[in-house]
Amino acid sequence: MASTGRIAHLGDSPPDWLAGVEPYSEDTPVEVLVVEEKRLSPQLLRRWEKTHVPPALVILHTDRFKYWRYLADRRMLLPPITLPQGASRTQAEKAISRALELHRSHKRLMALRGHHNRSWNFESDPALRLITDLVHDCTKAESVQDLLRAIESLRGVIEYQDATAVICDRKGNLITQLPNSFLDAGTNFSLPDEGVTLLRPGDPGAEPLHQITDEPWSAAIVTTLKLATTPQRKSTPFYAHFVLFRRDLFPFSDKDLWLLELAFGPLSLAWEKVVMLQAISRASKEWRATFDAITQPVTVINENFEIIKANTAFASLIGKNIKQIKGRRCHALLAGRRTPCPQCPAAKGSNLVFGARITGRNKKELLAWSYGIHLENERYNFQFYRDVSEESALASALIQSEKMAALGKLVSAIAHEINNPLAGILATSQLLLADAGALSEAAREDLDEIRQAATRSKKIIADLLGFTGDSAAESTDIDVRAAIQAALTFSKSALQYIRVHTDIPEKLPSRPGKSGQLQQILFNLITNAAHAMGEKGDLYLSAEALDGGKAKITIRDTGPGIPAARLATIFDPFHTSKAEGKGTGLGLSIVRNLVVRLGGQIRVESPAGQGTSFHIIL
Amino acid sequence: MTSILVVDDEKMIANVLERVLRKDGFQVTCAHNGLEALRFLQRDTFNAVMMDMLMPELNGGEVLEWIRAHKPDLKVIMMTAYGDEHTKEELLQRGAAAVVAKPFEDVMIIPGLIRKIILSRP
Repeated sequence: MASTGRIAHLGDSPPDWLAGVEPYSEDTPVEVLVVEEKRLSPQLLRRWEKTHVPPALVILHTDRFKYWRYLADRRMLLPPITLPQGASRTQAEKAISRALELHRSHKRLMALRGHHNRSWNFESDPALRLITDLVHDCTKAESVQDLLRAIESLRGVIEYQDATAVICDRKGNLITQLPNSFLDAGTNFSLPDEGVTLLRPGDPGAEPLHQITDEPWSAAIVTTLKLATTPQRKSTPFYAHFVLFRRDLFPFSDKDLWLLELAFGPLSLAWEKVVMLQAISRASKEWRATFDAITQPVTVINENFEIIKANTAFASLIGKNIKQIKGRRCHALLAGRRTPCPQCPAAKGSNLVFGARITGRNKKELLAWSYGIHLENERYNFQFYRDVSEESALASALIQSEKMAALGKLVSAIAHEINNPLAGILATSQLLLADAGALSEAAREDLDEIRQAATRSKKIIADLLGFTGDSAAESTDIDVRAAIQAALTFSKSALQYIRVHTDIPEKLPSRPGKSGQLQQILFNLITNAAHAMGEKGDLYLSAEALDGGKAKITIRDTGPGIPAARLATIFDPFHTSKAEGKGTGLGLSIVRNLVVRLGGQIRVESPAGQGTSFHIIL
Repeated sequence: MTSILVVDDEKMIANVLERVLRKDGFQVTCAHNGLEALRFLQRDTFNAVMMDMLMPELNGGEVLEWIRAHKPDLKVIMMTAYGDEHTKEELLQRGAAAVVAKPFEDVMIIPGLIRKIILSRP
């Protein structure tokens, strides 16, 4: 052990850094006693209390130190220093040198007071009790204000009525002061080094104090704490001065000085703790603010994909409160998965992984980046996300529209090529059937089959051409009401067994466009609904005027509905639920094309077992 | 006897039309492209022409223009696989008496249609 002092050890398992230190014996007075927590006992403490200069205690504790309360209740004269069992040699040396310091300053004060031969009696010394209160309060202080309140209790200890205290830095800049202080902040002076100093006007070093008080003072006690940690800079040592001023004619007594020196140790510890707490809380606030200022969603996850930190952008991405996020797994929150997302960049383990595409809840497309870091042997990943759902949707819509345009050209070309031979087939079969007298019954039937097939082909081609938009007609104002009526009239045969309910207001906004197109849209939807319902059902047709001169038309049937899996593709060309030969699979595709051409929107809803509703907004 | 010139490069259609019209008492001449049609038009006299739009050599539109220039009274019925309104409109403007979309709804009504057109005023 590097320290030069009388140190003893009380316990069963001395750590390495205690090698060579004597075990404690009652007969040998020591300055510092390193005692293991479990060996502390009320008897032991009582014995030390009777000693007039007790050893300073360094208590070795396991896990968390639970003895504080007990010690505080006992109002220990010298505040014990605690040290975790696994503390490093440097930490231990620091603790021991502080304990030595405590013990020696105490001893010095004892000499000053001339208490050499008297034993301590807490009960009969109110000043000591106040000091122990101060020690107790200081250990609990969490802010500068707490500390000041604790120091204020010194007003009673130091028997003066007309005094105040300030805390200032080395240059006399006021950090804080007691309420009702008569002091102003001073500038540019240096105060005595570490320790407790009594100064009177005219003493060397007392000059600067005139700068912080503009009133005459008779005596001041300067308690200077040298601090390793400062709120602003970690590297520069920082001095805090507690200055107690006195304005009356009586100087501070030796006793006052002694009492203050007694309080010096715990005060400096408490101050250091407060400054550290402030720094930590400031750093944490700064970090939080920076983290939240990032508009992109960011998280820090551990190896188990549990979220350690998340910013507010992430919280709003998943629509949860930030407090509900910590400790949850990212894949559960983002994608509702029990296992990590298959493309997760964090799972790949390398240091920086570029944009992997993962699919989140509600079909959100996310681009995820991951940056791996190692902290104290644990691996963490910074995860950055970007919501690209909209971009993807736009891109696929673009591809879709390009595909549709190409398909349109192709279909148009093929349809026209086929129309010619088809016209021949159809016309020939019609002609043959017209003078079929010479043909056998079987031949006539076959011929009729040919005619029917050709007619069907003709209709398919007409649909295809309608779909590719090769029909031209005058563009006028569409009378929505009239178009609905017309469509209903055209689809009469399909609606033979179906109850039709209409709810169409007298007045509906008119829209520029081709009436025939809206009729075609409605006709297709109505016949689809009729086919879906089969023999019987109810068809509801309603319309309403919307804000902004738009109209909404709803067609609802009571058919079996559309399976959720197929909802996404029903508007694609050649999608059909009908048996082969019954439908071209172009009906809804044409509907959507026409709606888009009219500048409108179409939506479909098909809650399981509740039929299907198409909403057209024009 | 009413004489009709049928022009279509799709031989099947020309044949069917020929048979349907003959059956109905028309005298029918068939041509299979625009040039051939032009030769018949220069040589013979017809009451009406039924002609496809898209053909090799000389297309229906060009023959139609020739007819408008040289035989303004001759009624021309155009056939087209592009049965859309736009094409119809254009052909009527260029002087066609009627436009029939291919494939026909019912080939058997075509003789009636032609008769009606021949009787109609220009």
